[in-house]
Parts: sequence; structure tokens; C-alpha cells
Amino acid sequence: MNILICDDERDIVAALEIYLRTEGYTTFCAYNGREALDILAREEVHLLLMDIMMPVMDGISAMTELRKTSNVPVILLTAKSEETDMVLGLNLGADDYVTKPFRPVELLARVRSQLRRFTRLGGTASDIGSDDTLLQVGNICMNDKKKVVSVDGEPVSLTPTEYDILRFLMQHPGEVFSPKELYRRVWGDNPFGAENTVAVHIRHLREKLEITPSEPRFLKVVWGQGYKMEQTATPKKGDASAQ
Amino acid sequence: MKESVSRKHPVLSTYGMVKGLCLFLGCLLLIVALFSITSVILLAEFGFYTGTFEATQKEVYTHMGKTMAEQTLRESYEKVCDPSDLTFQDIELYDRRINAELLRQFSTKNVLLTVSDSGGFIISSTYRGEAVQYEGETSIVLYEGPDNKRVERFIHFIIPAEKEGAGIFYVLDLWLAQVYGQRFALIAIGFISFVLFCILFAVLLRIAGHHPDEKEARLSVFDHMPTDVMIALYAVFTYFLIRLLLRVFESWDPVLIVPAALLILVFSPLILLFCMSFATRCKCRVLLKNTLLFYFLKGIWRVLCWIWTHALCPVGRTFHQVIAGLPIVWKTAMILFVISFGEFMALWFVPTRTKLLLYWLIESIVFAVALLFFALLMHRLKAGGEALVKGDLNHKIDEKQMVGDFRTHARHLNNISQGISHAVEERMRSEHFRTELISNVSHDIKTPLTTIISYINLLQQEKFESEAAKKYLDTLDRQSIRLKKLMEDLLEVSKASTGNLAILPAACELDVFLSQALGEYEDRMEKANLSPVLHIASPSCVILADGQLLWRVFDNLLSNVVKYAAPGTRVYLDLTQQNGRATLLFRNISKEELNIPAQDLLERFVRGDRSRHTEGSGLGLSIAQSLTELMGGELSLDIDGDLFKVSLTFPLHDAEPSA
Repeated sequence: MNILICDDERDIVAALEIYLRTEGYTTFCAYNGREALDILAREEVHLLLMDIMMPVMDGISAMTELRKTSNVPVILLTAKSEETDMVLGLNLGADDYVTKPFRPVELLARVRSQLRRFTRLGGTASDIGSDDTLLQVGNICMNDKKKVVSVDGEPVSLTPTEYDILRFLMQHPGEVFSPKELYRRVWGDNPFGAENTVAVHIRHLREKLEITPSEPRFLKVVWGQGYKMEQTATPKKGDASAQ
Repeated sequence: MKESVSRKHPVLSTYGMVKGLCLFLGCLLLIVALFSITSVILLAEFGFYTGTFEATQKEVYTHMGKTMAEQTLRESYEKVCDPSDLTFQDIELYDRRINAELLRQFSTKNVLLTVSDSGGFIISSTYRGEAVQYEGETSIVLYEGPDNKRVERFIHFIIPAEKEGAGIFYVLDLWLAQVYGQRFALIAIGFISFVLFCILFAVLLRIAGHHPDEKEARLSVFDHMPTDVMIALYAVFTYFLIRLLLRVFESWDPVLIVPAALLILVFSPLILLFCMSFATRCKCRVLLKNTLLFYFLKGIWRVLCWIWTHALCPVGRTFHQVIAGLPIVWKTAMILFVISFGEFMALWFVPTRTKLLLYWLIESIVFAVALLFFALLMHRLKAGGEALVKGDLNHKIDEKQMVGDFRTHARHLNNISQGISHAVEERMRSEHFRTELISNVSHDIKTPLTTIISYINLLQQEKFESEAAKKYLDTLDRQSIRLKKLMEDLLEVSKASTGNLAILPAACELDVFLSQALGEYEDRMEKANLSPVLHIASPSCVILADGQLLWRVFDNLLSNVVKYAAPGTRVYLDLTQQNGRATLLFRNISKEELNIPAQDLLERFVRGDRSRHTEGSGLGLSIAQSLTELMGGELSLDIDGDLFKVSLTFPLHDAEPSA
């Protein structure tokens, strides 16, 4: 797998190179957007890690340019932690983002996730099948027949309750359910003050499904109202995965 | 309270006894002093202090004799006829019947009379040649008519010599001798008792109103009676007493003497009490306040105030508003019209008015035009000022149309608006600059920090021989993470406190929110050995808030709880609703001693010294507060010993909760 690292900070590029090489990836290095585009034109690249603020050509412009020709997954490295910047990046075609300062572990996890999705969806998407018992939100897949849940193709083991909650939420993507409502629908019972249980289960689910549980991309908390599964457009290679 | 009263009681009673004793002694001394002084005056009148005993005795005899003779004759006449019917002729008639009566009187009034008319003709005589002890002459007027006629009787009276112990003159002799001997002692008694009385009186005034163990004087029940009512009662009482005394002195009637003496006995304590009450009132400054007159005037004043605020003021205000609402040019025109009309009316009565009226008309027109022009300029200046007040800094007053001082003033106003717009621009630029600066600086710090964190991680993957190196690396790792957190907090606090944060308010059900938040923290609470106790007094509390920001507030507060609460304690979360506001109360017991004021915890970077070396930036509470305020809520801290309380208050959202 070839990964292109693009950041104007050479030390960061060097560090990322080491990490990715130890994981077994081949790496290319670029120090601004222009260089990145040049390398992308020359080499076959499976994933692009790119900083936003760079000299000569910034990450957003480079990505906009890139998206005209390529669907290669892009993970933005950004120092700007504002929500709006993330949304902008995702809308312009980034697949994921990592905010600086990041921990290498998190970055590696995201890289892995994107690459897996890219290869599965891009290459052999059909092996999952277009079964109606198949539910998919972002990188989370659920096969209700087999009772299996996978994140980026990797199976995840869930308790029966967690599975039921997840299935219910995935069946109704984009809808917000209050803890009471969730309890009633999943447990089929009246909660009588058992709302806390729902919250705890959701947290466990998030820890199993999300790379950074405190900043969930799919299984979201709508504070003061309930929980929801993010509604994504039909999974397509290179599509904005979340908003 | 009970205890102090029971402790005070004996003191009070001794104090009261002393007071009562003083009062009693005061009364006694007053009576003695009055009696002796009156006696001394009476004695002086009879010459006790100037003449010999014989002379004094003679004086007394004369006085007594005269009084007795006159009284006897008058009473005799009154016996034989009705004194109201006594006319000139009657007296002539009754003269003949008087002798028998006079003789009868002698049995009681130890005096013998020879009565003669103004011509020297003896009408009657009871003198039968008895041994004379004392004799004298006097006269009484029986009738004095409008026709300048009068009936006068001359009396030659004789006090016969008496056997020992027989009549009043013998007693009088003894008494005289006694009194004459003691006449100077009487002065001394009078003087001393008077002086003593004065001292006691002063003491009484001093202690009036005071009570043991109390610094300030206070009013008793009696002192609450209005002062003027009290004075009136005393005045009436005193008036009747004086009238009675005057009558007593006039007639020495024994029937009247007894009640008079009793009245004096009653009166002397009463007058002392009166003086004491007066003193108490002065001490408490209610002498004039506690009068019916004062109450009456106060009532009238209240009525006047009410009339003023409820009737006159609104009318005046409306009138004033109407006048103030008029443009300045109109006002000037109105005033000019009124003045001109007055002048015109005055001129109308001047005899040779035609020429004068013409001059006046010209003058008035010129004057009016000039004044109206100035008023117009004034109006423009005013409009300019109003625009400034409203914040319209681009409004410029046209200086070209102004004259003289008006132009200067217009220029000044224009300069002010320029100055202000400069300042505002400057301020906005610096505000913008500050936000930019923080955002840029934080970005610049983030990049090297990322590098540091990455390389520390890389180093940790290297195999080191030395155990120490591993330990050092762990420290570096921990501290770099801490630095990261600190920087994120700093950025957030700057954004939150400058309000540079997009807020997406949505209906937020607090009970749902609480269960969600507690669900997030359940494991961490368990790990810290804390048990949360959730108490929702009013379910379905809906507020309008940005859920994500509110979660950040809770995250900060709950992570504080997990970090700083004493293990094995309970953490209380209360949700209440009152007066259209929802209040969330966090209570926990602190692990460490909280030795700083609550406010200091909110100040950025200030934390209890004990907790300085733990993880975290110390900005948590500050961020929570700023975010809460951004969403229109309030956050307040309270430290009560080890009990740490945070309360969040938000206004309730009226709309129905959206599911």
C-alpha cells in the first residue's frame, strides 16, 4: 500500500514515515500541495495524509484539484480544531480528518480504517452483497442474518443488548431517539428510571465502533434529546463520510 | 433569650425598687419643701423674721381677730337674710335682727363685736364688760350699689381673756411660741429639702427610661401616650388643683383642706412621673414625634403626597411630555407668540399708539425671524447629538449653514463622532487581532507539539537498556499530553470568553441530558469510588442550549468531580425548577482541603495550591462558566467546608419539548 504524506513540517513527515513504514506501508513525502499533486500524478497512491495550512499550495486547494481526477482517500491533518473547518474539509471531499496535536495511535487507526474501506468498497464491494438484511452506516456494517457487525471489515463482538441497540439505530439512521424511547423499542419494556442503562450501553458501543469514542463520527449523542446514528449518503468510494 | 430574661429579673427588681424609692423620697421631699417654703413665706408676711415675739404676736392677733370679726358679722347677716337679696333697704331692716345672731355666734367664734354704721351709730354690741385680752377695729362693706350707695359697717372687736386651755387663742399662743422658736429651723428644713429634692430630681431624670444592662433608653407603656395629650391631662389636673388651693387659702374651709391635701399627695408623684416621662421622650427623641399634632400633620402630609403623585404628577408629566415632544422651533414660536401678544395688549392701552405699534411690529418681526433662525440651528445641533447618542457615527452636521458659536459647536460634535468612530474601529481591529493572534499562535504551537508527541511515541517504541530512560520518556509523554490539553483549554477559554463561538441553540431536556451525562461518566465514577445520586425534582425541564457546549460544561464539571472528590463519597446531582428557571446543583465532598475562596477557583489559572500538581489546566471551571454564560445561563460556586457546590441556572424554554 502506498501512502503519500504531505506536511510542511519535515519532522512530522519523518515521524509519520517511520510509523507507517513499521506498519508495512510504502510512503511518499511531499512538503506542499503542489508537490503532492506532482507525486500523485506520477505514482500510484492508495491514501493521502495532508496538512491544510501549507506554503505554495494549501491542502484544501490541493484536494479540490485532486478530486477532479481521483477518488483516493484523503485524511486531513489539521491544526484548526473548529468544527466549521472539519465540515468544510469533509464537504470538499476529504474522507476523514485528524486534529493536531494527534496521537500516532489514533492516526494509524484512521489510516487503517480508510485503507480497508477503500480496498473493500473500491475493489471487492460485492462480497458483502446487496442483501436487504445488510445495514451500513459509514464504516460500520451489520449483517442481521449472520448477526455480525464489522467495522471496516473487521468483525466486532457485541453483547446481545448492544447488538439490538445498534440494529435499531442503524435501521433508523438520522433519527433521534430519547433514552426512554430507545429502551421501550429495544427492551420492549417501560424504562422506569432505567435511562442510565441506555447511556452506558451506548457508550460501550461507541468505544467498540469508533476510533475516537470521545469524538464519534457515526454513533452520535444529541445532548439533551437522545441518540442517533448519523445518516450517510449511499456508501460510495471517496464520498464525504460524515458531516 | 429565656435564660437572659431569668438572669436579668432580680437585677431588674432591685433597680426598680431603687427607682421607686427615689420616687417616693422625691415626693416626700417635694411636699416637705413646698410646705416649709409656703410656711416661711406666710411667716415672713406676719413679721416672724423681722419683729419681736410680742410684735409678731400682735400682728397675728390682729389678723386673726379681723378675719374672725369680719367672718362672724358676714355670717350673721347671711343667717338672718338671703345674701343674694340683700339690698340697701333690707340691711337697714335686718340690722335689728343681727344682735341675737351675733350673740349666738359668740359660742363658737370666741370674739365679741360692737358694730356701728358709717355715722358712728352703734347697731349692735355683744360686749358685756368681759376682761379684754386683745381688741381692734375693722370694717366690712355689706353692699355696694350701682347708685354709688354703699353700706359699710365698722366693727370694734374684742377677744376676751381666756382661761387656760379653753379657746383657740390659747392654742394659738402656744403654737405661736412654738413656731417663733422654730422659725429659722423651718428655713433650714425648707432649704435642705429643696436642695435634696433638686438632686433627687436630677437623678430621676437621669435614670428615667433606662433599664439595667441596656445602653439606650427605651420607652415604657406610659411614654407611648402622645406628649400633647399627656400635657393636656396634666394641665387640666393642675388647673383644678390650683383652683382648689386658691379656694382653700381664701376660706380655710376644713371641708376643702382634706381633699386638697390628698390631691397634693397624689399630685407630687404624678408631676415627678410626668417630668421623668418627659426626660425619657427627650432621650429617645420622640418628644415631638409622639404627639397627636405630629400624627395629624403627618396624615395631612401623606394625603398631600398622595394627591401630588397620583393626581398632579401625571397631569404635569403629560403636559411636560407634550411640551418636550414639540420641536424646538415650534416651542420658540409659541413663546414668541405669547410674549408678542402680551406686548401687544400692553401697547394697546398706550394713548399715542399708532406710531409705537408700527415700530413695535418691525422690531418684533426682526426679532422673531432671528430667534426662529437660531432655533432652527439649535434643532439641527440637537438632531446631530441625538444621532451620536444612537450610535450613528456617520451623521455629519452641515457646518456651512451654521453661524458663529453654533458652527463651533457643530464642529465639536462632528469631531466627537469622528473620534468615537476611530476608537470603535481601533477597538474592533484589536479585538479581531486578538482572536486571530490566539488562533494563529495556537496553530503555531500545535505543529511542534505534534512533532514532540510523535517522536516521544517513537522513542517509546525503541528498546532502551536503561530503566531510567523509560521512566523519563513516560514523564515526557505525560507532560506533552498535559501541554496539549492545556493548549486546547486555553484556546477554548479564549473563544468562550470573547464569545467567538458559534452557538446552535436547541431544545434540551435536562433530565435526558443528565442521564446521558451520567452514563458517560459511570465507569469513571466507579473507578474513583464515587456514587452519583441523581435527584430530579421536576422532570421535563426544557431549556434552550447548545447541547454540545452544554456537554462541554458538564464534561468539565464532572471531570472535576472525578478528579477532586473524596473517594467513597456520594456525588449529588439535583435538578429543580423555580420561577421559570431550571437549576442544576452539583454537590460533592472535596478530597483536598479547599483553602481558597470560591471566586478564586473561577479565575483563570488560579487553583487550590494542593491541586496544582495534578493533571488538568485549571481552566475547567472558567471554561464551564464562560460557556454557560454564552448560552444565557449562570454558573455559581459555593464552598462550604469540604462541600463543593456548583449550580447551573438556565431560563426555561417555553415551547413543548421536541422528541
